[in-house]
Amino acid sequence: MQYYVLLRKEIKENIRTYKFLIMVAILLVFGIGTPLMIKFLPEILKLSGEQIPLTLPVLGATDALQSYISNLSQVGLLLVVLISMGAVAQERERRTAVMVLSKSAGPGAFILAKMTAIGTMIIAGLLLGAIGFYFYTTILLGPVDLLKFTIINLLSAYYLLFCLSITLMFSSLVKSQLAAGGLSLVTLIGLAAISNIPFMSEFVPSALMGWATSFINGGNGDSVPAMMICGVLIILSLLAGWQILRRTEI
Amino acid sequence: MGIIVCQGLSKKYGKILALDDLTLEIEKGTLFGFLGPNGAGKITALRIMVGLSQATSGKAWICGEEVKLNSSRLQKHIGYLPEEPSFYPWMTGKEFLKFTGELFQIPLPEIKHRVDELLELVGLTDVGKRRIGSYSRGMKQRLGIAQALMNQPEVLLLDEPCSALDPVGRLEVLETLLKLKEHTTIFMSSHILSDIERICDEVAILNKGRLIVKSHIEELRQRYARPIFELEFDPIDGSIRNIIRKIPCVKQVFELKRGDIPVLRVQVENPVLDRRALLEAIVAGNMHLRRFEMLLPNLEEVFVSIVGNQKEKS
Repeated sequence: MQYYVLLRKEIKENIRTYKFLIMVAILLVFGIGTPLMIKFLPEILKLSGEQIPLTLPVLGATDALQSYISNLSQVGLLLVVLISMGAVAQERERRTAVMVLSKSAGPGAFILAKMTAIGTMIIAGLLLGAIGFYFYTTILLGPVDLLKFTIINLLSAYYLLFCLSITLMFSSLVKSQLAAGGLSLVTLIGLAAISNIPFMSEFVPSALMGWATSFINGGNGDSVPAMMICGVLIILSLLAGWQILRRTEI
Repeated sequence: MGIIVCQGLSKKYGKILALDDLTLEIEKGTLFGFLGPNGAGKITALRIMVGLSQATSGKAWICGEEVKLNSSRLQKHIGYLPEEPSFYPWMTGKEFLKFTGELFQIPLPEIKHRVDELLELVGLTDVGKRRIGSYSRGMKQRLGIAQALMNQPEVLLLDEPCSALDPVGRLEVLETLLKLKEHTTIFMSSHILSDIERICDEVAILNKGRLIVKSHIEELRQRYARPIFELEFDPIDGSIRNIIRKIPCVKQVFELKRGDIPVLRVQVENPVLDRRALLEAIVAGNMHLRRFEMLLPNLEEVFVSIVGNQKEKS
């Protein structure tokens, strides 16, 4: 019951403090901007007035998709960390957590409500960005395989939810939101770097984005272990966040 | 068993002992004042009682429920107001109270009724629909009191409830607390000793983490009474002064005026033992006594005397 009360509060807060709008706007800009940039890059270069002796290859829908995935795995990750690093830390710093957690609200419901609300915001932003990308790419650069595109977005959403759970865990651990953001970025970038080790590449969550890229290039890929590990890590991060809050003096 | 019981509560922050073996029992229906200089350990004790901090050693019970860190079972029985209550600035006062009621799982129709009732009680009805971000510190303090009362708690734990209020607001809050006392046990810490003196039944004084004294206010005033009596005669003349001066227990006699009325201030050795001797001498001297009063100290004087003694000892 308290979970729903806290979830309603989180959703209202994200709307009234414009976090929802910012998240959706940025992902929409990336969604629409990627095909536009690819289509009009030669014109932009011409308009710059400089005679650049460069022959650009003809870029199509596949290139736009690759750029889209690349943006999501870098900018998406950064956006998720920035928007969620203060979720718990800021409430502890400003002492609003005291007002909530001294009223029979369990730390579990507190952190789960944040995960759901911010997760919903990420998925909504991703969905709008994807719709924008799909239409602009189809119109400007040629057809996009809808099934593959859907799978790519589902994998990206899954990966971004993993990034969110890690950030929420660190946000519960430290009182400073900057420290929480820093720790999250180091961990996520570190995990992404591990995926370059050959035998580890299938077992880290960032392999999901590699799987999405291989889809574009026609490969089927197989990162079932990464999917399972990602799910386990999401659950473990949330449990850790809950336990940290339960044992912490607010 | 009292409604609030602390047994040997201690709290250490690194090497600093913030609370040292606090043992306390408070009966149901008491309005209890918790006093101490800055850094005495009042906030630490309060935070442990609310379940926001964990004692290094010792135990506490509120309403028979053992106090544990983040215990939601305990929090159902209590209302808590921190010293500087923090709110979500984007919420309105009304929304915050509704949110509090929902957290306590109070049925919605009852929440609506309670919200209106509490806003009226703390004088925020007119600004209930305004965002909290635009509230003054005093308004936030009033909202803090309202949210602490939302679940009709058996025990109300208040940290400096009047600190941000103007004199009129302070009086209103004190009157409200007196009304609440009928069915709520109130434990309040405050620096405003006159407020504590005005409404509290019992007080405890904490210094450097240790409980120095716990007593009813009247007992405390008697215990720390200065050995001075004020006497008013009808009329005062030289012979009366001489007779009083010759009483063996009298150390000094001063004459002063209260308005137009002359009074004698008589200093004795022991206020309890020498009171009788003084009265007997007055009767024997056939003096027309109009007023006889032992000068009792106010709480502030008692506090300064107790805490000052502690400083001298250390």
